Amino acid sequence: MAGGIFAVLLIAFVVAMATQAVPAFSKLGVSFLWGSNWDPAHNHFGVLPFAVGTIETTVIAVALAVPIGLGTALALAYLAPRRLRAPLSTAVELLAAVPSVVYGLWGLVAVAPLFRTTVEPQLTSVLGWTGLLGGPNQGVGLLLAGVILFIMVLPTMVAISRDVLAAVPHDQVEGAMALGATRWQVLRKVIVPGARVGLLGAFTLATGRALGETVAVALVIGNSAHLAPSLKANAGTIPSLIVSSFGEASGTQLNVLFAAALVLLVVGIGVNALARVFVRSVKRSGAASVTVA
Amino acid sequence: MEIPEKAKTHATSGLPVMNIHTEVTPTVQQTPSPPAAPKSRKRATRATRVLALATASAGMLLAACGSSSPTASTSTSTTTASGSDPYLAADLKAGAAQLTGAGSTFVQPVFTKAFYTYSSKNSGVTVNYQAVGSGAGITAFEGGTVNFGASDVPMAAADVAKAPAAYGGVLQVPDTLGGVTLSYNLPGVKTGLKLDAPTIAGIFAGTISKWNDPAITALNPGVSLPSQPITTVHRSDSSGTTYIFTDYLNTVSTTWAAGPGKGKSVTWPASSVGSAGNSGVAGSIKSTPYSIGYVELAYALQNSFTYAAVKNVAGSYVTPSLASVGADAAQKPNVSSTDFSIVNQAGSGSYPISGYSWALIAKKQSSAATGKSLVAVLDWLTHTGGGQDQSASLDYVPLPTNIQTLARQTLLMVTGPDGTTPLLTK
Repeated sequence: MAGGIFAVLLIAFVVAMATQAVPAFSKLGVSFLWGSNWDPAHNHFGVLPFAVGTIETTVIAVALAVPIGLGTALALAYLAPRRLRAPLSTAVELLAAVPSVVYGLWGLVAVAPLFRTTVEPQLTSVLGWTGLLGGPNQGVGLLLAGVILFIMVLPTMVAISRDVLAAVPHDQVEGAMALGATRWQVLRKVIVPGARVGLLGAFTLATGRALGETVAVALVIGNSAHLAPSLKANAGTIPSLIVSSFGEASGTQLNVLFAAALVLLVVGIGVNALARVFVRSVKRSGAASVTVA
Repeated sequence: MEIPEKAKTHATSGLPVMNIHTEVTPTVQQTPSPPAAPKSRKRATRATRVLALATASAGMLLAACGSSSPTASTSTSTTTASGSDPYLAADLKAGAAQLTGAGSTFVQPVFTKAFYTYSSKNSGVTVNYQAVGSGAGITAFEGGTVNFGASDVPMAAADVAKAPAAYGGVLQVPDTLGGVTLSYNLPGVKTGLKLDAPTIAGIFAGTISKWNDPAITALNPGVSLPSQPITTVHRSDSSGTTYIFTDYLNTVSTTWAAGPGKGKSVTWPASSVGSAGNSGVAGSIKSTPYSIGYVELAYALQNSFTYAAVKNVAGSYVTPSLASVGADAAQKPNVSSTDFSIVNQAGSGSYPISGYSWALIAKKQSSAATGKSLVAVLDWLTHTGGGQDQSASLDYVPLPTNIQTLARQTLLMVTGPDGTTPLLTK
């Protein structure tokens, strides 16, 4: 029953976005989806820079959140001193409830100056050879947006991962210990594989949040309509583009924004579906690997 | 005690507010009270209520008195607006109506204060204005969900053509005047930076990239400018402020016109930081040393920002102010919804980066009664003695007199459903 309602809602979303987006496709073809020139004053609407910006910020956020989130979750579930676990877990859950605009404002007023004066110069001197850190140190930009997103999705990642890690059956853990496995071996061969499905769920949720985050990103990314040549450069994402231009948009631009929203919706559903397929395949082979361990 | 005095005079003319004096006195027990008042009410409470009732009635009388014979009204009444302008006096007598408008965020402070003031003078009319952005305002106006729209840039001919046929055309009325300042954060140079048109265009196009570029130092002799890269800040949301600023750049620089052009949102160089809203741009400038950006005049004045003096057509450096923006606008007496740009006007006192905001209404109103109230409110809004008196206190520029005349001429074209009877009357 509830599932039916959600299915109807999902279809309603797609239909609503698609109806508004159709004029954009009929006027501009589909090429605007990979055009790189966004210039509303001259009716050029290439959304590629924003699509790329969305992917780049999400990748930065998730690449940082997965190892750090997983490590923190393991610590909270198994490694930290027992009396610290509860207060630390509560703190993480509270962080997960902080509204995103607060992260954005904090990023803009507190983290951006720190990035400009300290983080970016240091990073450039260490990793400048990669060619990814060209341009002036200005604080806001792709890197800051990715890092703020990482801090935003981390609590989600940690809270869910800790729960699924703690739910791994105790007899399996004790069984492995009884066989003489070290603590590290138990974590690597029993607990993490046993919680794989749930960990993937945490990963999907974190990715989804990073993909769709709007206000916080719009505040710290520098909002440029160009492909970012460096991690320190200004960029833009599809949600930040929509939130910043929707109010004053009319005509074709409005249709293009709906098309961009449709793309985002499809990507979001796609990520979710991919994760599901992955989870299913892992479930099948995963059962075997746990018995081996 | 002025109120009972007034009431008494009118009591003799047969109006139903007699015996106010006796009703106010708590000793009178048997006066007719409002139907639901329970008998057990304490004396004091009843007295307060009756007093309130009496005051309200007396107030209404005062207003009525003021409009019928202005000389009879006292200094506390509402007749400062009438004066020599018969339309303004009539505006305040508009019939009861609940009007809605939507659009520009730029005009919101002025509209909020002006409509509040209007409602306090004519409590029958309330105006609910939603600052949703000019584009959304045009959409709402065309969809018929609001009585009027507000846009920082007049509706383009293509958009006007899309308006419902029942509107009988779209009329656009200038309602507010604003300017755009160049605010900067330059450690060591607190005030007095001077810029001219080619330099501003160069800075925002990214061709002038350091503060000690010869183009800037030549304009600022005696000021030591640092060898630091310039960070430009622009509005990331599409906005009327961006339109006015790029309209200026477009007018003064052929390279800019051939490149980014003008619009509510244009393509800025990749190095330019985008921030949302005047507050966002202002915040970015404040927190980024060696930055420069454009901020709407009222916002800059209210937050005591540092801004540059800009060289105008006459060759003098002018700082943005209510007077200098007004002087620029006054140079062009004939604006219209198709010829509305007032940037870069002549005159030695003109600040060259300015523009109007516009109200949008249907030429043929579907309801004569509502339409009458609507044009009355808009006429009041666009005139000195009415809404324009609110502008200066909010750091918006009052409309020049010729534009006020234009607004009235436009509003006189609004008709009722029959398409002939004008709704704006004296």
